[in-house]
Amino acid sequence: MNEASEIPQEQLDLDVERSAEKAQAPVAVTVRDLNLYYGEVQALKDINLEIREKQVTAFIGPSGCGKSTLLRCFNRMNDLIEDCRTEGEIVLHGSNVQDPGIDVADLRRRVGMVFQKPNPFPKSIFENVAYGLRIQGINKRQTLEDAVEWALRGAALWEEVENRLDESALELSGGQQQRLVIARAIAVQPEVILLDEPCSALDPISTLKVEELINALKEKYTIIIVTHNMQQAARVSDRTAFMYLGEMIEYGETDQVFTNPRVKRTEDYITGRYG
Amino acid sequence: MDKLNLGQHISKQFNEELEEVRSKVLQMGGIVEEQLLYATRALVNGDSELAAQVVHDDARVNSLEVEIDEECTRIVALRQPAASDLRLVMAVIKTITDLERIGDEAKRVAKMVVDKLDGSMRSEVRHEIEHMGGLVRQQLRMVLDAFARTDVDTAMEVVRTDEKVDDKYLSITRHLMTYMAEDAKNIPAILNILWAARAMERMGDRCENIAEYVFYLVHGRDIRHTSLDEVMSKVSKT
Repeated sequence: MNEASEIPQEQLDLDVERSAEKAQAPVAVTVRDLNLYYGEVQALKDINLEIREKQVTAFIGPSGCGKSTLLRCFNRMNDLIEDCRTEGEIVLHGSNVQDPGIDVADLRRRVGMVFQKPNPFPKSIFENVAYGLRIQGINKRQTLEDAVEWALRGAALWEEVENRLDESALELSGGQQQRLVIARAIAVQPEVILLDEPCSALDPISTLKVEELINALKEKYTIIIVTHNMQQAARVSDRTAFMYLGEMIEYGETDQVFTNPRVKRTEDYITGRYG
Repeated sequence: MDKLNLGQHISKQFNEELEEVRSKVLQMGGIVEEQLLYATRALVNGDSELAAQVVHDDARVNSLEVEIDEECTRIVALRQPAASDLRLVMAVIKTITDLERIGDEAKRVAKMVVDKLDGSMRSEVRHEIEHMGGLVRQQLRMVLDAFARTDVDTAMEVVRTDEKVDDKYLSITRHLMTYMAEDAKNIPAILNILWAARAMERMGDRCENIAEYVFYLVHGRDIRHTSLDEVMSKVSKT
């Protein structure tokens, strides 16, 4: 009676039924045959993946594996790097963001980004959040006030700052600044929010608040997060992609990746083994 | 991913902690295996000294259970294990519960020898009890082996063997019913033998549980409450 041990791993996948509902969520972003080079060095190799709408997708992997590079492709931040060249397609709700004709400023409104260190502008709290709207030519006081309150509430910061909106954003704590930056990103109602290690400069309590926020934001937005903290990836994400040396090694439901990874290299990484 | 590669963590301390837990489970299994052997022998031969030994050993099994449980809690809290490490810790926590219960059943059989049996067991029954004890011991040995070597084939063999144990239990029950019908005076003594057989049958079930945890440990799939046929037919459909 040796059949059981010969069952291929895929066939043993119990998660299939459980995850069917999640897997049917519409696709927000499709990456096809993406290759990226910094000069002669290839940083991303044949990346193919689909990011589901209104889910949190986490990219994990060791330093230099290309996860931040991949994240920056989604709103063309890599354009700012000299010698950077990409091949392949990234389709965001039907339009190829790699298309040279695309309006990059509009793309970055549709795909907001939050960085590792909070980077508020040296302006008031109010003006930080209103910034993106003002750029779009919206200057009507009432409209701005409504939008700022909505965004700050969305970022779970409103109650802490509602009486000090005119104070400098730089006076906020690190955790508050990070939530402010997230408020600034959602004020322009993006389709996708990119988070590049958003908690690595925060204390554990602020981290938990941001994680709570991520969980609340996925009701409305598609979120992609890069994190070095695997427990964080496990906690906040619906799907996890493991990258190594520029390649997408494994991409699947977070539950499955963390309890029963398909690929040995993923297993070695998340369990802290020598690969 | 059949092999656990416990020694391959970047943290040597973590390697040692997992290895320690694993070896303590095997140590606990060894004591329980001995309890089962002695309990069966004591029952068949009416040896109350051996039975007392079984009762005595139960304390060691209990304290190992607590020790391993604490160690697992510590690993979960401090190491946040994932993937096969997590499955190992979960499998260990469940395995030691069943091992401890097997020890309890052995103790139950042994106590019966000390308190109730007068050594007047008929030879046919003695033979069958001995055989059943041997089958359960074989299950336990195999399942500990399967756990130690993360060997699913052996684990499945344990599940299969349990059917033989169940058959044996039914056969013993039938015999005992006949004897009870023959002479009502025998009923109290025969009931004790029946309880002992029942305890052995339960031990077999618990070995089967452990075999299922080994399957989970290796394949990451929970096959509890699924018959062997169901597992197989599900697999062949996919």
